[in-house]
Amino acid sequence: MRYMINKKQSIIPGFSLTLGITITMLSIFILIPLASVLVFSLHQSPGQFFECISDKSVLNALITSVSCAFGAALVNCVFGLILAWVLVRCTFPGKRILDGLIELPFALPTAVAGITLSKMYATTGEIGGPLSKLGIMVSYTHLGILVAMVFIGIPFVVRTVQPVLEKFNPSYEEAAYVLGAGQFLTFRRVILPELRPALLTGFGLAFARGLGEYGSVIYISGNSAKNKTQVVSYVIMQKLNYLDYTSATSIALLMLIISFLLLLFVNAMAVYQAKRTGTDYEVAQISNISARQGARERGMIVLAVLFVFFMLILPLFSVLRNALAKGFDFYMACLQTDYVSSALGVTVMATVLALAVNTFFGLVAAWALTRFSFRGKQVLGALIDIPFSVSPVIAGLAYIMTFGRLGWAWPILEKFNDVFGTDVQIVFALPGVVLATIFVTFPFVSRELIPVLNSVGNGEEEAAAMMGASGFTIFRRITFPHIKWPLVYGMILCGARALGEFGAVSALSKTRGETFTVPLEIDALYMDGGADSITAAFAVSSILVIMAVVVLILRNIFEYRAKAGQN
Amino acid sequence: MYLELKNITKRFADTRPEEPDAVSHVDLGIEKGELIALLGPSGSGKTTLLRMIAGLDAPTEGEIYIDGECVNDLSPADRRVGFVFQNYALFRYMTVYENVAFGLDVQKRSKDEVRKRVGELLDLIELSHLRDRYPNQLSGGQRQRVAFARALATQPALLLLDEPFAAIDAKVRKELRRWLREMIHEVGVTSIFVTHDQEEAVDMADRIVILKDGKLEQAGSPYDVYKNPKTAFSATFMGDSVVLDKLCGFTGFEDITDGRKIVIRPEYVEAFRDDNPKFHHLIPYSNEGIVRDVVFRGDSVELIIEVNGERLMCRRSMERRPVSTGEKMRVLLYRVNVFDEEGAQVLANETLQDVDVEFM
Repeated sequence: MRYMINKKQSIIPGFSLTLGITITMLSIFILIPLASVLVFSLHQSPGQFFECISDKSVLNALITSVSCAFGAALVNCVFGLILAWVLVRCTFPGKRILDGLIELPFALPTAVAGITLSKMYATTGEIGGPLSKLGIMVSYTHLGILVAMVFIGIPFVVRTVQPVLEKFNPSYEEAAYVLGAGQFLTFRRVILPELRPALLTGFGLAFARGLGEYGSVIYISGNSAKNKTQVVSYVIMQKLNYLDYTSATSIALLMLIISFLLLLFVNAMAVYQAKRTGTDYEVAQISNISARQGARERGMIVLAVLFVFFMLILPLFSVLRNALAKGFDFYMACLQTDYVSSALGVTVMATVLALAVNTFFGLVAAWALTRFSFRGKQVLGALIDIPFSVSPVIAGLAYIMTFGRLGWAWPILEKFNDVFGTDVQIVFALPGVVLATIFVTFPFVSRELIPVLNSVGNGEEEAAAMMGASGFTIFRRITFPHIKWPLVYGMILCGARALGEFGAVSALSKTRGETFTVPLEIDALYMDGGADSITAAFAVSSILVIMAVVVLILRNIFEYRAKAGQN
Repeated sequence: MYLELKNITKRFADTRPEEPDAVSHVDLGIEKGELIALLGPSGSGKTTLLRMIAGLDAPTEGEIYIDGECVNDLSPADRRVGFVFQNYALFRYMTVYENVAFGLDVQKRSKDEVRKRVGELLDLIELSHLRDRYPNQLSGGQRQRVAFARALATQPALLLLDEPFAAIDAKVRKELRRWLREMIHEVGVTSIFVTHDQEEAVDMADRIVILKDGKLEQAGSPYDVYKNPKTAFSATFMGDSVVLDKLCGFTGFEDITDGRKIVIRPEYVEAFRDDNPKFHHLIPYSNEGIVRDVVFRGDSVELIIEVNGERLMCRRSMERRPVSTGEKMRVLLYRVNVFDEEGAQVLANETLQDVDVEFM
């Protein structure tokens, strides 16, 4: 025991406990289910594996997904950079609203985004109509997939570039200016290199998200094998529905490898950036570069506002317009069916449970990862982020391969039910829905807390520990005040994502009126195809849209509070 | 005058009405080849003044002339100024070579010319062997040299340095000071640097400009500013000194109780034991004091001695007999600086006039 104490690197208590909980929860919710996919796909020979993934429809889907996600990530880099620049460097009325809207794709359920974009860009839609007159078809083409992926990917680029730009010391620009460099040259040679790692990270995240995206893509894509508009997530879901688990896991494995590589790339970027800018010799500087704001800045503001209007604001109004297409009475009637109330109940339950689990996990993991240094910390951090880069459909598949009839945990579950005379089911039942929701929203809270705790440093905690405070006291009195607002903010985002989760739940929930969540109910209504039920789908969507807007407003308030608290 | 500041005033847009101007009506002339220190505490406007000379900020009022030409509307590059930033602002994604070459690249000089000039500069700063390193692979002192070379690459008419030693360890600082001073004189470029450290200013500058609350307090050679401070602020900012509100009962001085400030430097104070034969003849001109504190300063001992209820400070060579707290000593005042609104005055010990005393 004495040896252990001597080996301890930090006097802050709770290392073993928090690390233990972090690893246990990570294993139960993320790693073991994903490993099940791996184990199952290892049952087949490499020949079978390659046969599965070289199937023509699978290959086409892969090409479609990769090319569209790549293109969308590129578009997002350009607009993300413009948006981040405008948000950091320019002042104009409505800037805070613009800032708040960036997170809309996080807060808006993907299924809602999917049906809305699909409708807007159809030949009869608000944007699709005018475009089709110009001969540009968007819905049910690759362009449509690209639009959906741009929509869901934009926050990743903006939110990775923005903080770097905020911290960027103006003296670098001034140095170039004094040496006679013009605006363009300064941007190309001084600013861009500084932003490149952040841009590449944002690119990687947006690309990964696009690759795995399900809900927002499947409606606008049309899913035609002939036109090659099927995406990988759709093909996996299709194989699942045909109970072709061999193909499903093979494709999933390939996607997992790709997303893992992307995650590695993103982490390597972060390390590279820290290395080059690591020795922090920044000194606070007075500056008023804003004095040189010119026509170019105004052009960028216009571009940013237009992008946000067409990509983010218009869809919101489109939902409401479609929802009320058949009058207010019809709208209210749509919300009062048994299916909807059952779906609401399931959604709320799954959200509350996911929120509770992930908040607890987020606090514990953030403590373990920021207050102690240990070997493998980087890897652990990357593993926690897995749900960001894994397709939600694969998350659903992972639980099926764990607790379903073919899963290794199935016999254990059977035994359990035999012994206790119960009939506990996980897959295609409520526990599955809850698990899937937890999986998808797993890193949301920890991801908000970790950067804040890292930037605060652990000096205060060490001081408190030295004065003999217990772990809990330190947390309550020292750490918690620092993370209060980021925690609320993370919980809000986590809740919003949980409410709207579609792909993973879709794979695990098959009974309408019993295990369907609100997004699944929307999907069922929309896919029904009748004009009435499509309006009903939008009516139900409007509830989620209103929630999303509330979330954005709350997020905005809390983020500004958090920023004020830091200063 | 090579650089001339005429009535320069800077008021920032976000300054509240009751707050003073950041820089207020500063007139200053600088000769070609001079090395000038802008000295003042934080908030005195010294960096703002430097940034206005550079063209990074525009003055609210007044004109700046370089070589007889008004440069108010010129960009920094057109003013031909070089600037060394406080954090050096070396481009982190460029090598040492690329950093130094940047200004020349911007001017579209030929490849050969750039290579030759950068080579010369890297030789000058003795960092040729590190030409392919990135800024974060350099020590603080090396970074400063690169920033210096980068600012000089385009052969500026005026070199401006903002707190050039702020980011350097105290130990290397002195060495770098000497190096920078020698470099600037070798290159012969007119230079202005900002500092809050009077020792740094005395060590390096040909002329010191003292600023306080945005106003120019005094400008002159280090010796001049030290010897003849024009204001109480200049006197206290240069060197360690004790400021008294009144002077009562000191042998050789009239009592001063009319609110004038009295500044006494440690060098003006002599303390000796009454059994010291060397000082025996001076006892009648001295007062009695009690040693209140003895502080070892590395190369000397600092004594805090209470005389007539006032605490004075003096330095004592390590070669003399040790003194301890509580001991009684004789204290002789050679002179004091007296300040009022109108100006400064040096009062010497009247009774000492007819005694042959060697000033320390």
